[in-house]
Amino acid sequence: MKTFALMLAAALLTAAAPTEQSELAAIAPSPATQSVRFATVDVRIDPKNNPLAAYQLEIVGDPQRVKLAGVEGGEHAAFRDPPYYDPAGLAQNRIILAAFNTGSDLPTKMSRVARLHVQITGDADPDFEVKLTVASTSDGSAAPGATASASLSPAPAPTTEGAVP
Amino acid sequence: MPHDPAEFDDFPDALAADLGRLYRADVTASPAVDQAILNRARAHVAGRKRTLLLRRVAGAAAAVILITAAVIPTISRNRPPRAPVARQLIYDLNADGAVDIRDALALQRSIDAGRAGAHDMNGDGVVDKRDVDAIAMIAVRLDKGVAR
Repeated sequence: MKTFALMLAAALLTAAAPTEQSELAAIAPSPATQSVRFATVDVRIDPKNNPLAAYQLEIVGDPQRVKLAGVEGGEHAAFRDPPYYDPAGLAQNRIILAAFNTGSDLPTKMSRVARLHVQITGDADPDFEVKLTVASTSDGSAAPGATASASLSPAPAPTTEGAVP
Repeated sequence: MPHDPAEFDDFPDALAADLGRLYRADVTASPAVDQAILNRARAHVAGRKRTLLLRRVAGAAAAVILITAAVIPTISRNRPPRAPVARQLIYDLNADGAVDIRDALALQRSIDAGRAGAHDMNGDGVVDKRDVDAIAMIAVRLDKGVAR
């Protein structure tokens, strides 16, 4: 009886599949026809006037549209080196970044702590979910009120060099 | 071929007595032969008892193995993995219940202060930057689930 039910379900699915596929093809472009581009994502932390000595955060993008390609460090000297991350996160849509600095020159204002290189499928800009799990001062205590964000880097200003006047 | 004693009833008494004397054999066994036969009989019975005991032990062992094979996977499924938890405790230097970048920071600060202690995370015999890196890499691992 179970075998019969399974065979019946398989037959129904097989019969329904072409129709469903053709409907999907009509409403959404196939991956082959969607545009693919590379962009960078700035990861920023605002430690709210506390000296930021260590951070750890998780970034998640749309799995259908975002693939990580690389990670580089931030703008402040304390976090200029690339942060720690799991290489398994490359080619995925999720990654955990973490870094620390034991020096005394630490950022107290919002600054870019890392930059991600991503591959984006589709024309619209994707959103990124950021979860700040650690933002601490040198003694390991939490930096109260610290926030984090991740957004596509602003496109570089078009150069006029070589342009036709 | 066995003889029926009744078949000689028709013989005259004298003939029957003579025939009886002629074919009767007086067999006497020495005590040594008796003892030997008895020993063999005992050995045979003891061997059967030993075989029976071995069969019972083998049966009990098979039953224990079957029960163990059936029960252990169930216990293993229901019990949380122990080794990862133990490792997590090793890396959780600040004992806040989570391995994160603050543990790496704490170890780096200890190394800088010259009191790294016994935090040889990678087991290479020295406590240095590589041990700090080991903790940090645990902190950012993706397969541990959502970061705390």
